[in-house]
Amino acid sequence: MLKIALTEPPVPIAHVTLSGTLDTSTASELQAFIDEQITAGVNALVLDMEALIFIASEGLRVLAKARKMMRLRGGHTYFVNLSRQVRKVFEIVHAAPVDEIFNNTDELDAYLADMQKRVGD
Amino acid sequence: MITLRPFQFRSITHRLITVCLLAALVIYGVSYYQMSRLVENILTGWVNQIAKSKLETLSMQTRARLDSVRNDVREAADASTLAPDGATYLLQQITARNVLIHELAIGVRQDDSWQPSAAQGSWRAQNRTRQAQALLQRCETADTDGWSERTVATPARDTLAYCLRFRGVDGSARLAAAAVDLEPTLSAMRANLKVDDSFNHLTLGHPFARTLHSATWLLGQADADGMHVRPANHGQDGLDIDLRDGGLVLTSTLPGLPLQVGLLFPPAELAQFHHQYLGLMIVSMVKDMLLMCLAIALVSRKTSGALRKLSDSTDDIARGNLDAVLPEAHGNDEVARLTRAFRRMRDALKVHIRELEETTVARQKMESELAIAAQIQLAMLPSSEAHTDARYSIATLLQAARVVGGDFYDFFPFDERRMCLVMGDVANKGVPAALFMARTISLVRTLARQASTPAELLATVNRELCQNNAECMFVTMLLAVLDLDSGELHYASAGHDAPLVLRKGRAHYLALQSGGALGLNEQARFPQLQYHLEAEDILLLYTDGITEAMDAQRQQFSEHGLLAALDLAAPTTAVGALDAVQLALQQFVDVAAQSDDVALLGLQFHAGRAASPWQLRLNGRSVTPAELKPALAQWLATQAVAEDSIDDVLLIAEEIVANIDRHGRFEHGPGLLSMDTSVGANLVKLVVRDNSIAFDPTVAPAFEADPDARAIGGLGLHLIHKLAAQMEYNRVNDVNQLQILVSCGGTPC
Repeated sequence: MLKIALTEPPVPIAHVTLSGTLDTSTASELQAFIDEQITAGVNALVLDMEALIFIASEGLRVLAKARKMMRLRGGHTYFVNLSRQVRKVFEIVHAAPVDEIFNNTDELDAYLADMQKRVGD
Repeated sequence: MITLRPFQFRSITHRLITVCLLAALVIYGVSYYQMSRLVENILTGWVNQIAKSKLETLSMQTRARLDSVRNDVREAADASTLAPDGATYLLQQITARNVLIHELAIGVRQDDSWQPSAAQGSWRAQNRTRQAQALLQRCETADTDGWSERTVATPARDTLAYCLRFRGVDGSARLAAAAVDLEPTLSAMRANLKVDDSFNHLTLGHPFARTLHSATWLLGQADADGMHVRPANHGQDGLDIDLRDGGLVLTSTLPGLPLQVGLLFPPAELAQFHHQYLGLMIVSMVKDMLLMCLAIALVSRKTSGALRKLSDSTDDIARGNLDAVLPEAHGNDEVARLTRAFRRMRDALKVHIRELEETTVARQKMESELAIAAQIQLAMLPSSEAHTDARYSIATLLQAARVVGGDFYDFFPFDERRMCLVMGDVANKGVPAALFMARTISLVRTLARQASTPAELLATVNRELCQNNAECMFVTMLLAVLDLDSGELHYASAGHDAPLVLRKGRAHYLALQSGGALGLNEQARFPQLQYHLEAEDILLLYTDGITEAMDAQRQQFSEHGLLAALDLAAPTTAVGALDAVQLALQQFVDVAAQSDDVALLGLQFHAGRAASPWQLRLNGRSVTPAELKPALAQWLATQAVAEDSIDDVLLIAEEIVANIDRHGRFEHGPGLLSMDTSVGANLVKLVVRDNSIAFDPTVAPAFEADPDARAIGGLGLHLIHKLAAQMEYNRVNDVNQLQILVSCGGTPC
């Protein structure tokens, strides 16, 4: 079972909250959502995974695809609030560079503000 | 009851001796006074007797002697009358003959005084006349009463004077006087007047003698003074003598003599004498007592020795040695009778134990045969685990109240699309019910091919069961046929309870019109009903062993209780539904014994799910891939495995299933993936077997560490390698066998 909620407007930052499990049976749901909702205008994809209690390789595959898509667009993918199991799996497979992983939303907000300021300069 | 600790003995002998000694003490103590009085009386009487007889003898002897003196004096007087002047020679003769006569004088009356005419004695010659005159004077001063013979005590010496008045041939008044020496008499008294107790070496009695008129002590005055003799009383018969402190006084007054002799027994002497004898008696009685105790001890030890041997033998028997040797029983006393009774008891025990052993062996044989029968009975029913289909999952339960029972379930393909479900209950329990059940199941299976509906099948089976049913056994049955494509359910009941359907966690009974039980009425008809199962609905069939189960207060679990239990648990799988019912039933029945057989069958209908090319089984139970992770997580949690480790195991299981799903190819029959988990000290062991093509996952895959550089996917195997502490792969008989150990991080799982 997977629930997906979009709390931020998709442009320019898409803030996606995942809860439940992301495994073989649910990975396709996230894939469909990203394909549909994360349009070309999004240049930052934030995945909040506080309530995502389980992730398997199939889920990692979807996340890797999303990262690749965002990278090709020149955008970024950020992972926030990793739960225990997700954090462990991320560490094992190096699912994302450490600068894309944040402990909480505040850290991410500070990072993004800093980035925008630099871009503005 | 009060028991005195000092009187609790370990030995009968000690008790008997103690009681004997105590009894002797009490008895002798009570009779001591009387005994001492008796001893005193007897001894005093004895002393009295002896003393009296001695006194008598002495009196007689003394009188005889003094009589001889009197006769001699008379003879002298007579002779002097014949030879008035030549009497001195005669007196000499008489004095020489009679040793008692100390002095002898014969006087003649001249001028109012006595002049000795002849005298003989110890006097010297020159004094003789004067001494004789003094002796005659003593007679003169004595009271005279005509002629008489009187004795006069001489105060200076222990002598008596014997005076005889007579007349000479010339008619002159004459007087003969003799002084008698009392010393021989007193010596005889000293020597003989006493009581000898040779046994105790005691001499009793103090002799005394005194004159009657002047109360002059001749003998024993010192003794008498020491004994506080009371003042004397002059009586006709002599002096009364009494001892102030008691004691014994014996007296004798010699007739015609002014003398009193006697014996004194002071109280202290008598008391000593009594005590000697009393002591002797006590010593003798103590000796008797000890001899008696010895005799008691000997007899008692002989008796209690036999009892002790019996006690030892009994302990031996109690420890299980039924060949224990019992002591020989001699005679017909209590111990011998007890010994014989023990022998009979031991022999009876032997026989009983042998019988018990034989009975036990027979019962064990019976029980083992029954256990085999139960296994055969169970083997007749299909196993839910051996029967897996993606379109449904099934769970079953059968518990016989006895070893074998009459409840049963069955399920089998009715035709290509439909499957047949059976739930039945043979009246009665035990072996007859089990045999009738076997007959019913065989009939249902055989006749199912000829029938097209449940009602028709029930009617056919009923007709067959009615044949040759002299015992009038019957069976209630619910028969349902489910279309696995559409979910259409047709069912009919032969006296059986209505089935239950669980839909989205809510349970309800299906409508039911029941026919009669099978085996009773050949013409019975069975109304058929219909219901539509939706996806994931759970159909539950049961026997009345569930609804009529009783608790200790004999309350029934009831249809309502069953419904409430299912509503409360809201199970989502067939296995869960059975578990919920079982748990609720256990809690309800609690300590009461299972009264009836119990059978349960749960079927979950997975609508429209395409038949998977392979089946998944977890710890022997069929599960869908969706059920795998929750079931595994729940099982690991019950084994108290830490959450981190549960996450790892779940991820490994997920990756393995995903891998098979993606790459598995089954070339040897239907595909099967089974996982068996077990929890060790700090490891979780996962054994995975599949009959897919050979694949060794222990070969580590290449891994690109840079997420940006690597290809998407292919991380599953890498994850397994990273999470597993150890992996071992074998292929045996076309089956991949993979053993994975997951560490619990050094802590107990």
